[in-house]
Amino acid sequence: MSEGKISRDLEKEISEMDPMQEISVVIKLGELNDEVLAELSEIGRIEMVIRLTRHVQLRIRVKDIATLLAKEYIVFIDKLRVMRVT
Amino acid sequence: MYVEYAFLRLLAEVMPSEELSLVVVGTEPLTMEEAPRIYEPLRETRMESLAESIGIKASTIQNASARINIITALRPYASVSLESRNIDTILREYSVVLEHDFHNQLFKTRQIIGVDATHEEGYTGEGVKIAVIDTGVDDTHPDIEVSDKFSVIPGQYTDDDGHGTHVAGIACGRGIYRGEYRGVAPDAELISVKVLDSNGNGTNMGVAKGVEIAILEGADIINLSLGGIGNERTPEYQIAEEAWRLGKIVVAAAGNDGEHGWGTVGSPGCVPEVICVGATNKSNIKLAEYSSKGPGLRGVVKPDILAPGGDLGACSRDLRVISTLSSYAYSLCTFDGKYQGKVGTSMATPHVSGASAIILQVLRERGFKYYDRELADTVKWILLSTARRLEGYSIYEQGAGLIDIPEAIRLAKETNTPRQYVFPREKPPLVPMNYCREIRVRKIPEAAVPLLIEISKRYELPSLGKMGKLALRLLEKKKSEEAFQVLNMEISTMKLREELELIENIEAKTTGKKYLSTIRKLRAMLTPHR
Repeated sequence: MSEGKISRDLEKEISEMDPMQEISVVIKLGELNDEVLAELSEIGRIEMVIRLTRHVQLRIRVKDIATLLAKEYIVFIDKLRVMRVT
Repeated sequence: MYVEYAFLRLLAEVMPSEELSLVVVGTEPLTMEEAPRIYEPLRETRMESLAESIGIKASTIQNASARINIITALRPYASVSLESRNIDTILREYSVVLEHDFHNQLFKTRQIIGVDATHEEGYTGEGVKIAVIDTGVDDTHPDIEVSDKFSVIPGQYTDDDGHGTHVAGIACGRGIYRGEYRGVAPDAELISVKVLDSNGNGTNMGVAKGVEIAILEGADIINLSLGGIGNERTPEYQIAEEAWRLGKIVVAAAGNDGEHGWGTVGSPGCVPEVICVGATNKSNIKLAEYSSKGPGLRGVVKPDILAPGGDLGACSRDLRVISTLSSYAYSLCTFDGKYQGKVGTSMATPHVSGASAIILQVLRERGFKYYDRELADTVKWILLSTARRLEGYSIYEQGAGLIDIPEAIRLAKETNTPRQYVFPREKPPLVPMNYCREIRVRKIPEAAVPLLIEISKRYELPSLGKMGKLALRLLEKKKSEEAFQVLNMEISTMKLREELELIENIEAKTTGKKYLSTIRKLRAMLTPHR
């Protein structure tokens, strides 16, 4: 895994998963444009895009996370985290 | 208060045609199975059947020519209307409570923060748009008027949890069904973005998307009565920063993990710019036990301000914050069939959102000429500068103190230039305790080595709380295995990598004054693990 590009929590979570299993990840992009989105669509299924902060939620197979990390426009990948009412 | 029955009987003689509203007290509350029925369509026969369920005979109601208006879920109460000439039929069999006495204290929080005087002055949030990012809002409630609603949960728009409707009612409920339940900014425009499901759960991406929608829809104030684990890299944190930069006033709950100690404020409440709201209990001179405590990331003071959040405990008008009830949700604590009682920093947060709307209205009416983050900073400065400090609490528990809306309006009327609030310096508190705990250290190259620092006195380290593990972040790593710099503090005899994960608390043993000061620094930088 590319050092520093993936959160420890996600790293830990996927280490316990089957490579063919799917997981939703949160990607922070350095640039967000149609080309990048098209490329991400080939790797996984885009579930949500936040243009103001350049975040993408991507449904992806665990084995494909390595491919994702190799992309230059990827700043950081984290797991999808729970929010709830207070 | 139980009424003087002789008075009612006298009234029946003198004014027999006078219509009375009474709460008839039954013998037993609805069962869990029956309670949801009070939200079904209210046909008269159904009401009478429900009245039977709480021990009030339908025949008595019919004999008194009374009409049942409401039946409450947790207590055996039926609100009825009848002519005073028929009161004796009821009094022969049941205790009654005057409806006025039953309701008049149900929404005290507005008085506590001084809202009513503000409304009389004409400041009601008019012209200001509040976005409630939550479980949705039930716009069929007479008090709720939604100008637009969105959802990031496909196909779901209704508030089937009830949280969002309750929050919206506190911020900007119209008080049409019952005036005493009017919200803090009743004339503010409301938009709803549903990001949490029927169990009150969602994701950080969903929340961030909700905030983005609110920004794009032109919301002035974004209410986030929610939270979770996050940091500078997570989307809900970054979108809150972005919203603030664009001049949106983001108000977020501190969280309800106060009983777990320091460093339990959630994200996005922990974002430095965001107005993070903790809660006072029913006394409103004390912090609520559940209200999460700071500091935030890197020692930032959090929460920023307090507002009424109610007390945990029974479903009581004295304990809970009463606000609008979603007709799609089930609640065990209802009042009047249209309102419910809830507790938490979620309830404190919309008080501050409503107050922000009022301040924004004042600033705009006075021609305040600044926009973007200068405007948001100024509203925050006004709220925090005028808050009332509570005795006996650190700024890491109460921030600037309890919100005071009349004072805030007074200051808003005098404010012409942008301002930014700066908290006074205060060390994070040290809490002596009579035992130390063990710390386990992971991520050590060779083997797990316990972290042992000797101290001459024993201090409690921040507890882990629900927020997860705590992490010690090393700012500088030396190659030597002998010493590492941690925010200028040396921890010796250790071999570390970039980060220590503290699975449990620490057995800290050091000697001398030098280490006492280092322990303070250690405390300050312990933050929830992300």
